[in-house]
Amino acid sequence: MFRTTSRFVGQAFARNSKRSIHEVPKLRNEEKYIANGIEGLYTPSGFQTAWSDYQKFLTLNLTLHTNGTENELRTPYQILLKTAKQTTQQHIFHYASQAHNNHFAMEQLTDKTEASKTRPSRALMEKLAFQDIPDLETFRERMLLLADSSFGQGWVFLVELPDKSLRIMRCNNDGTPYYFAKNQSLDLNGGVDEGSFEYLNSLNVRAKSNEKDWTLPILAINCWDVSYIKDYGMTGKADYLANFWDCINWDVVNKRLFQV
Amino acid sequence: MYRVARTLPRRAPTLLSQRNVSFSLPTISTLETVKSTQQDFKGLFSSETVNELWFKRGQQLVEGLNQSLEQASASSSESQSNNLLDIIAQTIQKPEHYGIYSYGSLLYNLQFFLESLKENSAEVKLSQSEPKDLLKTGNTTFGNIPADENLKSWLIDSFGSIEEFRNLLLNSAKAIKGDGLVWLVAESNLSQNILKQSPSITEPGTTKDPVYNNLAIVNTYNAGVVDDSLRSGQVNRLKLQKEANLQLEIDRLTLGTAEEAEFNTLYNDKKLLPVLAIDGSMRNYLLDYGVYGKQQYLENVWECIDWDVVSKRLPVRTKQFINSY
Repeated sequence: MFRTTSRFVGQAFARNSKRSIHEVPKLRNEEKYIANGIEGLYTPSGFQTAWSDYQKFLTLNLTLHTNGTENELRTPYQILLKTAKQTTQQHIFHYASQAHNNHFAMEQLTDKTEASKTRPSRALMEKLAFQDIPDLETFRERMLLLADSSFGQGWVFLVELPDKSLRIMRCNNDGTPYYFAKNQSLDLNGGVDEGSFEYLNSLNVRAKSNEKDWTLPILAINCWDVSYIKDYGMTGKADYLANFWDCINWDVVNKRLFQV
Repeated sequence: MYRVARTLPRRAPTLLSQRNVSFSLPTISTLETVKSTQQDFKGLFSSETVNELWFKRGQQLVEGLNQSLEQASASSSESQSNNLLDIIAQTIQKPEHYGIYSYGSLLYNLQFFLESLKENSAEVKLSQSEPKDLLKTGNTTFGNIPADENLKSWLIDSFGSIEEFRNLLLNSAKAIKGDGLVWLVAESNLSQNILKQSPSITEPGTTKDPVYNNLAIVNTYNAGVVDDSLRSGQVNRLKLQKEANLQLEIDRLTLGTAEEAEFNTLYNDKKLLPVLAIDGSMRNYLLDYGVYGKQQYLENVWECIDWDVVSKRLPVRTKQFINSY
């Protein structure tokens, strides 16, 4: 009995002491993208900056910052949830949240000709209709206008709330849709209006009562400079966004929606 | 930046006539030279980056600013100042002028940063950094130490040494993950107001000008401005307003304590005067240095700081009575 216990401990120890590093996840058709870029969106060098280099930068930093800590074996998604509330771990949160968001957004892209064969599902459009978004064109305009009119870096998400309704959410910088206190939807530079003030207060109240957040992202638009600077220049955001929309693989997006 | 170019109609040009002053891109002579000769900004930027960073992005900010000003002047009769700092000061507390404020301060910050730079005379080759460069320790040997004795001694008194100042400055810039700048600022005394009111120290005839005795480092993010005495206390004021309303409702209006009143005015004359800015946003280094190149970019920026400009921006230093001993 003593022996079995000790063997068990030994095994557990062996498992725990295994070192692992965060690596760039493999995309579908990745070789093709590396060679040809994403048709209608990225040249090979644009794809390399937006994905291969940037994702490597994020995961490498994640490894460096989590090595030998409890977060070492966790996925970026788990790490971002674990670190979201820790004020001294916000640099780790940054790399985890960015790595997750960037992967999430890149997964939904495909060549333009492939993308044009896919459509948003009927379930998705019906849910959007409840948010006063009657058709795909309106949806596109809402998402892209919000993405284009925001200053600085960030993300625009379509998210599904716990009641299964949909919302469009803007996350500044490395904000995440998974936890309300780290959505980072407000920019408090400049004047603060009463709406923002109320929103801030409500965040405080919700955070204090340890409210859980079950929001899930359905679609992400990457507004970071790194995702378009190489192919579109520093002022090319609008063109990039229009192309980004044309390369969305709706089959991937449809599957993310809650299925009955 | 404010409109999706392809899907939405551009603003009608007729509005232009309603505002008789409009902005144009300021001239920065070093950058004009880079543009006309098609050569690199030596030691820091390729000519392509300079073109993107200033001549294209700067122009985009100018256009955005003009557009938001036209929209605003169509609906109100704001004073039509053509000074960026005035415009920022006038709009910083007004949520409805968020666009004007943001474009204005982004332009001001960008210009302030680029005007702080000069070309590096030493031969520096720009190259893309690699993943392994993330593991490197920053370079501790550096040049371009300010020659101006006044500036140098003020930096040393405030930060300990030029090395410590450089480390703090560059690491603060490196820590900016989204868009933002790190600033060297001259800081006025916090308790001026209180000192002025104490009869033993007030000298008749002294000006209200702030007294600067310390240099400090400050980060701003996105369209943030350094001197936020302009805006500080907004959230607090909204809160007080709300509480006051509540108290009125239950008919128990009370006066605050003297300490509270003092605290509320404490920051009113606290001034931060910017003298140097370094932009730590990704767009500055992505093209020339690559995703991994921030450290190299910042080290190159240090070598390109124009200390003459910094000295000229510096206010008169007032030494504190009790100094280091």
